[in-house]
Amino acid sequence: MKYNPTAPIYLQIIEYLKKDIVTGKLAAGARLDSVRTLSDRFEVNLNTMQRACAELEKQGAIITQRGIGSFVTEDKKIITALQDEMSGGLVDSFISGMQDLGFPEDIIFDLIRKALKK
Amino acid sequence: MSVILSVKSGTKKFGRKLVLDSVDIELPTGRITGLLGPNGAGKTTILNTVMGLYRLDSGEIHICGEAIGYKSKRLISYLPDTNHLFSWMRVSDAIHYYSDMFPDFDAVRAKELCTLLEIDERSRTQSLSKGELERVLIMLAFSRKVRLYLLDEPLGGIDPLSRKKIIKTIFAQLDSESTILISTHLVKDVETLLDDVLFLNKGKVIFADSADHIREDRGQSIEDCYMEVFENV
Repeated sequence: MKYNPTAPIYLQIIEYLKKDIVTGKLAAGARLDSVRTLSDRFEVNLNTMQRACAELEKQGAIITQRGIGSFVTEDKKIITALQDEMSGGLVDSFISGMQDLGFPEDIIFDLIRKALKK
Repeated sequence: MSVILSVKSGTKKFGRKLVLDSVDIELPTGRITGLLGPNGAGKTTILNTVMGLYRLDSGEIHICGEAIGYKSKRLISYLPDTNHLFSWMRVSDAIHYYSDMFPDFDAVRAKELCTLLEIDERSRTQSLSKGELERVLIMLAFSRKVRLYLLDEPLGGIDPLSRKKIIKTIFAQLDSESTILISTHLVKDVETLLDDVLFLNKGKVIFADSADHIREDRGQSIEDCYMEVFENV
């Protein structure tokens, strides 16, 4: 995995795992690999991986049961909230990009429709 | 968090030249710290004094509370930046030599690391390429179970594939009991590896921070931050 060196790496891992949760690649209730296995897979320092997992837990995306392991939340609300957060971010950045280029609303709509038809 | 290595106002002169100028370092357990700086900044000198190869002119060093001495040496595994193995040795001889020297040497771990790092135990240490030698040295250093690992330029002149393997091995080595100090000037290569950084210039620690803090608060990569700090010295 390639990381952007100017942003905290644990945040980039969080984004990656959230994406997996939202797309269902990591299903609700699925068990996560151990922190050590994950840090090996992501090729990061154990501390970085621990921080990413702790943060995901704080946000409710994963749940850790002591001595058993970590699991993806089964709470549909949280997963939907993650979905909204991720799609919201994409839409916002797209719209502000288009507005910066000076496109009015109706043309943005047209462009999206055209692009979707392709 | 307990402190593994503490250096307090460490000062060292070679003749008239001041090589370490009142250096303060404190390394907690369970972290990977990068000692970064240009050539001649004093990185190797710091490692050598911690190893007890040089004596400080003034200041103190403690390793897990022990002053430098034969006891402290048992707590440290050191990877020098030169080939310190006897020229007649094969890799397997070096492994035997290490296991005779160090009671904490784990022969099983050495075998594992040889497989992982693709080391041929029959090769002669004199005929190894730079990358192979560095992998052998990493294998030897990490087959010991100690509190403090000192790695002097483990990535210098290493091809990307070997580098990746070495970095993976370094990650796997870290646990909550030990601490790793890596000296290097290849800032870019250790970007994702480090928890903390220490910038050393002309024998002085001029900057110390955690890697995440640099990225989060300054929005910079370690390399950008390094450039900025060193350009404004």
